[in-house]
Amino acid sequence: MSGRRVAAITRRILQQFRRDRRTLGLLFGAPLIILGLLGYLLRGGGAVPAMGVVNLDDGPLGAAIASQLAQSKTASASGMSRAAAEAKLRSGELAGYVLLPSDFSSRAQQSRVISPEVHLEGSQPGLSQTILQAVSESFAALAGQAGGVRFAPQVTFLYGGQTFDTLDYFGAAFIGLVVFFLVFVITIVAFLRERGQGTLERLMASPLRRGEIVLGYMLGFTVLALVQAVEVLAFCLLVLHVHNAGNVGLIFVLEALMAIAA
Amino acid sequence: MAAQPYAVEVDGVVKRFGSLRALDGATLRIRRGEVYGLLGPNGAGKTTLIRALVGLVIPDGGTVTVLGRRAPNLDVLARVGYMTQQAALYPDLSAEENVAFFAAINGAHEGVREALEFVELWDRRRSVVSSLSGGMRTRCSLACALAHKPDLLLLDEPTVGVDPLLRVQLWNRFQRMAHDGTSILVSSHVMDEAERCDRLGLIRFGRLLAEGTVAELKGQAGVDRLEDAFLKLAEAGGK
Repeated sequence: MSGRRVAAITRRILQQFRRDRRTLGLLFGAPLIILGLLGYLLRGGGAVPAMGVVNLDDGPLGAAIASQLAQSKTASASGMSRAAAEAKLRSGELAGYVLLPSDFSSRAQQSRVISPEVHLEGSQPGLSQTILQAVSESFAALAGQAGGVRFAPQVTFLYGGQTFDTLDYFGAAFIGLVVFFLVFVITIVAFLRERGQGTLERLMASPLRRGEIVLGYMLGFTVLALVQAVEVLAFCLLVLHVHNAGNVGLIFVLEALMAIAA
Repeated sequence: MAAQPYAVEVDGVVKRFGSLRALDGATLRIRRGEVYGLLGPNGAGKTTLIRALVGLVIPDGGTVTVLGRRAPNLDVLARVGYMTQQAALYPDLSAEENVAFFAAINGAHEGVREALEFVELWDRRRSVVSSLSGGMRTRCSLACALAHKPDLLLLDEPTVGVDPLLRVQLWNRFQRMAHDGTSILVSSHVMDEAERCDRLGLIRFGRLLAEGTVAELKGQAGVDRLEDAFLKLAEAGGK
């Protein structure tokens, strides 16, 4: 192996890309866009999640925890009835709610265990973790006052829970991302081929308007992307058995929108 | 509409690429129904001039008029056939699909068979372009420029890679098309092809050095062979 020949190839690659702004954009710009999208998909936009507090406790402990939660910066907590909390959890307004039962204080005194009921929506593991963290922090703030007490929340999930694996949580995000990314790359490759083989020059020398070229491209790739969207969705649901409790048609529409946007 | 005497009028066109003046005041006229040969060495400005006619190059100065309208004009482009130097085709489509596509974007729904027969590719119409030889691709590219029956045909070195027999046939057909009213601009540096043009323009350093029929150019240079005339006029123009 000749070091000089290898160095010549390396130098040629770097020289070539120095003048290729599109590839440089793809190399250094696209990862930031993709990671940004991935972060948004997995973290749900990064806003503080909303949680409900249902305080039915006859004793003082429930009120103290509710008060701590109301001041929490980890989650945005607000008091409500059990029925309202349950309804909002199902509608997706709440990422979770904590229920402090009527015998909460007395049981804590007897058994030295604080065990609030934490009901989580569960579809986004990041949000569920944040709610649990907020409840845990509210207890930690009171731990000094109630020495020797153990914290053991009873966690239930509306969706997911112990039976969900990583793919169940991330599958939904990846369905959209895979379709978006692949259509994006294929469109770029097609356009680069159009330039490389000289046909773009021929198109630009024809009566075609730029808008017509873009629209024609979009419609052509949309047909392919829709077929791909059906394939990816069917594979995830039927082969990988990614858990789904929602409307499959809506997932397809979202997938199709991602593909068209790409 | 009154017929314009010229299909193409180029007046003092200047085009710079950085410090390079690819066109440096080029001026020429192409009459309707004539085969006009644009002759010049590599880098003389032939392709830049043709690209200016179809709006791919916007001149820094001067004017370009094509079929009576100032270029670039999208309506006029539907009446222009442009064959690029490289056989610009879709390699995964068949010859027929390529020609049909370029006809369609120029607003024509017929003429595919006629164009493929013109370049003798009708029998290979179903062949995918990537499986065709270089000469066949050139012919297919020519068919793409012809299918919509343009009034002006711009051919950038159209016979490169075409065998001598077919080259003769193509030139006979170009002349017949011109006789039927199509104006044809052919860039070339092959002298025996140049002899077949109605008129010639010699271009070098982005300027038209001489223009006229083959006989006129020979007379201007005072020589018997076109090649000698070209060399002499190019030398004189370079001084």
